[in-house]
Amino acid sequence: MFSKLSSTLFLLLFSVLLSTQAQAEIAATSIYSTVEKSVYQIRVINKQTGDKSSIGSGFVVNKDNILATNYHVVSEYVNDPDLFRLEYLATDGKKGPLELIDFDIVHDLAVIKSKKPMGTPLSIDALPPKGATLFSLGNPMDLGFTIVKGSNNGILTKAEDGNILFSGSLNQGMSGGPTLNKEGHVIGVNVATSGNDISFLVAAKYLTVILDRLEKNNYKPVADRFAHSAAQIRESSKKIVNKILNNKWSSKHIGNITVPERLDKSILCWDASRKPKKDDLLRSYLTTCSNRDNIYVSESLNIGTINYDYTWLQTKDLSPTRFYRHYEKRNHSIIGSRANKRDVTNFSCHTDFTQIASQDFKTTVCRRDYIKYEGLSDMMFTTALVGKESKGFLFNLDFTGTDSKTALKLFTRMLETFKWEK
Amino acid sequence: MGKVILETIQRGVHRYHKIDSFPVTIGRAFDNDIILQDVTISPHHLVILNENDTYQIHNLNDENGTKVNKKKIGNEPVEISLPTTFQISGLKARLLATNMKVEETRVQDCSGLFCIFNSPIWAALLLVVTVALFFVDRYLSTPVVKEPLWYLSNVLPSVWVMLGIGILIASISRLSTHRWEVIPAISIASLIFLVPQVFEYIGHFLAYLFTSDGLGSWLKNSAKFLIIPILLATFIVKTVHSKWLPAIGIAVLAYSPFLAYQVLGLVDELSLLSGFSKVPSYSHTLRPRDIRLNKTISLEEFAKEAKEATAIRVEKMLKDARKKEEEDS
Repeated sequence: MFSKLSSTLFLLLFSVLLSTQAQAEIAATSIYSTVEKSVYQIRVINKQTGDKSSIGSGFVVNKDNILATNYHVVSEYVNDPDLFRLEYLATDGKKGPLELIDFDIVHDLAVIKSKKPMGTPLSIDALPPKGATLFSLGNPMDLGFTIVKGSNNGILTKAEDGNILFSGSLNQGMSGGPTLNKEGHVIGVNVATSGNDISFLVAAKYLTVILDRLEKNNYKPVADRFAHSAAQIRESSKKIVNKILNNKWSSKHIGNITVPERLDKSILCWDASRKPKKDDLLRSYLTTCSNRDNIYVSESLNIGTINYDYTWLQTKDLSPTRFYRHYEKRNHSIIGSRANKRDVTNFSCHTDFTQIASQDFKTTVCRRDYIKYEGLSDMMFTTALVGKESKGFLFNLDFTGTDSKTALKLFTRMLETFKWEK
Repeated sequence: MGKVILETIQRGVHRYHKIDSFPVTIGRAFDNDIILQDVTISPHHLVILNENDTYQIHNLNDENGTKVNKKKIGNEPVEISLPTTFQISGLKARLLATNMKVEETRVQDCSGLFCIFNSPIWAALLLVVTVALFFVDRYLSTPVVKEPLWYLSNVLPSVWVMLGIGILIASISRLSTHRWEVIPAISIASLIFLVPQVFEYIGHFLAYLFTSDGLGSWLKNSAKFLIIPILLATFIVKTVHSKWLPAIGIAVLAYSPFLAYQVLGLVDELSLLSGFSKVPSYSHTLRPRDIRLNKTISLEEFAKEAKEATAIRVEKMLKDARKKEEEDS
């Protein structure tokens, strides 16, 4: 009886599976034919050569001449409108010019406009439950329009950008294409992939924010793109840092000091201590922490990083002079960024001796500003314990693309929580 | 009328020919009064005449000719006064009066600091201190237990280079003065290695004292650029008894290959300072003894200071960069 029941269940389940699969296939074919005319290849064309310099995908949304794509697809054009222009390529091979009207650099979204009607606007819908089938459209590797089936794995909670984890195979060139639910409504915009069916989508709610803004101002193009980007990045950074400031931080002991460890769930910490060797006369412990957010600004510039590390050094056998040789060598902090002289100024640093956790520290603040992005700075902070003959402690903290005052506030707050234990 | 001397300088060797009677013929042929063996000189090159208390040079050849006061003379006698420098083809010559005053005798002095260099005890001491410093430096920068032989093998190359420089200096003195000035050479070679290290130590101390690494690098650079040429010039003046100006010239010349290398480094450093650098430049120095002029301040005070100080400089840089960008576009 039991065995009969269980085999029935299995059969039922199988038939359910069968029917889901069949439905999905039907959905995929019908979705493709329905939305095909609303999906385009978006191309950035070099004005001098007339050749495409980068490609992505885009789709009609809100109005018949409004398209959405990723910011990174059109970033070359955003940064150098004199050198590049935008163009669309339809599934039937037709081409035409496009104009950028708004973007959200933080969530990697851009909205562009065509002079001609481009097809039926796709409607935006809320994210279906975890496990729901999703269909992603785009033009991978310039091979032609494709539809990729995958499943929704929900919004990533460990990162600040709120992207959706899509278990499906996205490829280069599909960026900016829509990901649809079974009803054919947009729930996200293709943005990135880590390979092996691990892909990421920008949640459609962020696109709604831009579209609402545009609707209010009658689709008026953004006047100052750099100021627009700067304001968005600054606000995002302020929001993240203020959130960190309000968090309850976990703490850890490193040598004689108790320091804050994870400041936020978006920050991950790793132990990077060197494995001790038999003949070592010096022990060192290193913990590095960093956030996983990164705002794509241009091909050569990503900002929005927060990194910090703690180093503890101690010795029983080295003389103070010998110990300080090594301690001083470790006291060199740099910032991991590809920003060059066209992006940022030089660093300006200020060093002095401060009292932290009733101990003396040599503390430095360095700041450099972005030339085009008003009010955005890279900040580097470092502090080194002084006056102890056989103990050393270094703390480095750096931010890229942040508000200098907010960053300084976080640095001082972190130092205020340091505790010295004998 | 006093006698006259003809001085010829051939390949750095000075030769003096006493002239008792005039006219005196000069050339490569063996029937001349003064025979000069140089293929650029004609068999009968010139005649020096003494008529009516005046001296004349009469050029006889049409080949490489004769120059008086750097000007080529024709085949007519040219009047000269004593002393006169002239050029017989490529050969430098002077016509001098025998009663002309000569340079004062330079006494081989052992005065002041140079006595230290001349004394074998001091030279040995400098050598030992320098080699010891090599060991100390290597020891301080090794945070693991190592055998003494390991230190020896690490230090030996520097010792060989130092001794090599000593031998080079001694050889140069042998060539120029025909004396092996070994003791001063060892002292100078030791100092070439010792002084920059001492300067670096002082620079490091001052950098921490003033919380400014600039001072340290200034001292380090001055040691690189000035100390070694000064030491070499002192050596030349004291051993070869040359004058200071040519001695400095020779010292700079001898040091020029190293100087070129140092200049390259300095240019890199300067371009980093004046140009764009991804690396923040701040005071990294840490010393076991916390001796400094800056007092410890509160975190709040520091944050205020840092905010103001960095903002002023960054805003200026930003203004310049934006102005430059406008000009470029």
